[in-house]
Amino acid sequence: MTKRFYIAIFKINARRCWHLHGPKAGIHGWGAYIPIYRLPLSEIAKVWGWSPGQYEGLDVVEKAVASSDEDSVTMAYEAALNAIKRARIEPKKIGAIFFGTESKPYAVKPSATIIGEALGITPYTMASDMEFACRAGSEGLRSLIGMVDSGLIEFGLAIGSDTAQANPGDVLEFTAASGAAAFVIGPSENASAIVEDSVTFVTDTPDFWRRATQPYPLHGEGFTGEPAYFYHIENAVRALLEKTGLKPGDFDYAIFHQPNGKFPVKVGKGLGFTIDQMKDGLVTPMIGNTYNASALMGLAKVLDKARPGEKILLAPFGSGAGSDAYYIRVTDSIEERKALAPSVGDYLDRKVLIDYGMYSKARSIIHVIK
Amino acid sequence: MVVYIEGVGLTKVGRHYGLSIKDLAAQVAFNAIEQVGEPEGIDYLIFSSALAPLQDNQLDIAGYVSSYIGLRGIRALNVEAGEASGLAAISIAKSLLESHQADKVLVIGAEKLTEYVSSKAYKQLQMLYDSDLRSFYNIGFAADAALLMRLYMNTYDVDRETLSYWPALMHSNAKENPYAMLRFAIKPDRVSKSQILADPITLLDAYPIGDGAAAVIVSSKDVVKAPLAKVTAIESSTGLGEIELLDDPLIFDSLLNAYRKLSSIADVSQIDFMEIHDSFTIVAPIILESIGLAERGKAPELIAEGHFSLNGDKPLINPSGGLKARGHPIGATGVYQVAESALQISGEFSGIKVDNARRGLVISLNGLGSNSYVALLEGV
Repeated sequence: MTKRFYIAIFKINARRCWHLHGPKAGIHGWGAYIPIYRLPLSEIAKVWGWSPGQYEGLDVVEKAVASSDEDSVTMAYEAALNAIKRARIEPKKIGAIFFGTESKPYAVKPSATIIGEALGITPYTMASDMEFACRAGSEGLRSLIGMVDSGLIEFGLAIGSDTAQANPGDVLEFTAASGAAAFVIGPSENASAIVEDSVTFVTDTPDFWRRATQPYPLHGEGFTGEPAYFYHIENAVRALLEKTGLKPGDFDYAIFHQPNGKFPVKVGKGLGFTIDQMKDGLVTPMIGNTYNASALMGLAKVLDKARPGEKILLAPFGSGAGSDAYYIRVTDSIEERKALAPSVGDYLDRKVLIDYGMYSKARSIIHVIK
Repeated sequence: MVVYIEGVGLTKVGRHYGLSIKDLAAQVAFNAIEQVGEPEGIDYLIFSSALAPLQDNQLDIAGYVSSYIGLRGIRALNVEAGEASGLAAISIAKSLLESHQADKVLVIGAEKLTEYVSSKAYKQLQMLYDSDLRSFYNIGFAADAALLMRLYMNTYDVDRETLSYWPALMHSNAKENPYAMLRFAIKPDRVSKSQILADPITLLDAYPIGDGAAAVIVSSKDVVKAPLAKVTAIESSTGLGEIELLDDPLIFDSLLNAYRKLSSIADVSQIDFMEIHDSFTIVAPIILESIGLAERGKAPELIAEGHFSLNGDKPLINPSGGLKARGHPIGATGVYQVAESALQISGEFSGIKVDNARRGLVISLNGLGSNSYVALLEGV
């Protein structure tokens, strides 16, 4: 009774306080980066003795691999540079940098300051690294919306970037990939798209974790599915639909976190979205799961294509576990910004296939005594 | 002495992440108790779990569960005989009634296999085989059945694809069973193409890893009110359970022995249906051949031709979907088999119904026959 009572109150308040939606903020610039190397999943299967059936069901063909001279910080820099180019703002105007990753080069020492310094944003800025498995970058995005709307800062930079780790030979290795996505958040005026509303849904669900001194994460196999990924995304999206009064059919695009090619399509269909709404936001089938950049790169790819007035649903997910759901509306200002930086499609097309040996070298799987 | 099955409780085999072994046990126990009307008169709890100390870090699970479900004060005992635990528990319950140590025994079979990652469960399942000869060498849980399957195929010149009709039949039966874990149909040609566990055994040749619980109330003639079925006889036998030690590994010696004992004390002709221990595809034909239901080397052909199925001649085998597709929560499985058989006989089974089912045979073994149990259930 209590639960139904609260839902009823929530519905009444949501309708009565229609004008209290938000807070709102604008996406001024967006950018992505995908390293050039691609490892076909068949290479992993060949080395570890997996049958093709083991990876074919994942709906992923190749995964993007960062080179020896790349890490989550260098990729974040590339993506953020593209986002700032599209935002057409002075980097110094950025008052907060939130860097979401689970593969930071330093356990202690912020990576956000390295990125901020390289981009010319420092010194009058907030800068911190966020941790929430794959949705840390999204937590940064949602925080910036509030900070911009409150007037604490004028612009902020949210980045999701990962060189995802996986224990060699574990099923996780098939999809753990590298990539970055970044967004310049600012006032609604002159923005390319406006984040009209957002919701976050988190619980203590240990589906995937890595202890501080461990090189690779552990996961609860099937437990990462229904009780984690599906439960949290479904609840976040339903709460957003309830809050905004929108229906799945009202959106032109729906983007979900993409641990593989199968899960986002399954969760989307379950929520009432069609494959037509989802196909433009899918990147994992081509490059694997870029963790913090996974859903955010899907958003970057959709913004590369979206027309003024179109509506986007975005739902990142992070293990441990939680999901955000955003309602984003595209504005007239988007068109003039699209060509100011390379698109996600440009990075998807730019690729060099490598074998497991080269991948091992690039990702330091081979131990070398120096 | 004949004993009676009164109430039964079943839960769907699956990944019950949110429920502990005690929760699962309580659910099915309450369902069974509800059917008999009241808990009064239950004077013994026989629990059946093989992995509780390993998955749930719990010893004396029977003692803790009896208090947990509100039966503090009754006597309680856990029975462990590996995969045969469930039918061993029913057998102990029957002995308690026969010796007038109890009048009404609640038997609960419950097992969790998903408390940890599957690699840990696979390690634990190695323990079903002789540890000196198997787990000591880290030999996988499907290895013995794989060797047996290869030997069977070579000895009788049976094709791998012919054997694949068994898992397909089990999936088609389980589709109708609301308590089954794998409720989807598969075509026989998919079996050999699925992931290899231990060549020639593939994923679709093996039982799925799932949690489950089943309960039955076993009553003596003096106290029974509304029985679903009666357990006429249970027999069991130990065996070598090691294929390399047997003169004839293609017959389960302990099962043959137990079945002979049962035949000597009860009429085992005209069986309408059976629930058998098909942990791996190969185990099913060897069970059928061990008890003489098929000529040696011929069971796979009969299965492929449609015998033992809903459209074939009686007995119908594994209307539940068997271990293969209903699922195999190790210590709970035997209790599932007895509960399903009792419902089948009383006409209340919610899956595939056997026409005019009066007599059912339940077969349960551990590993490849270190222990074998056979039970005959009949209509009242």
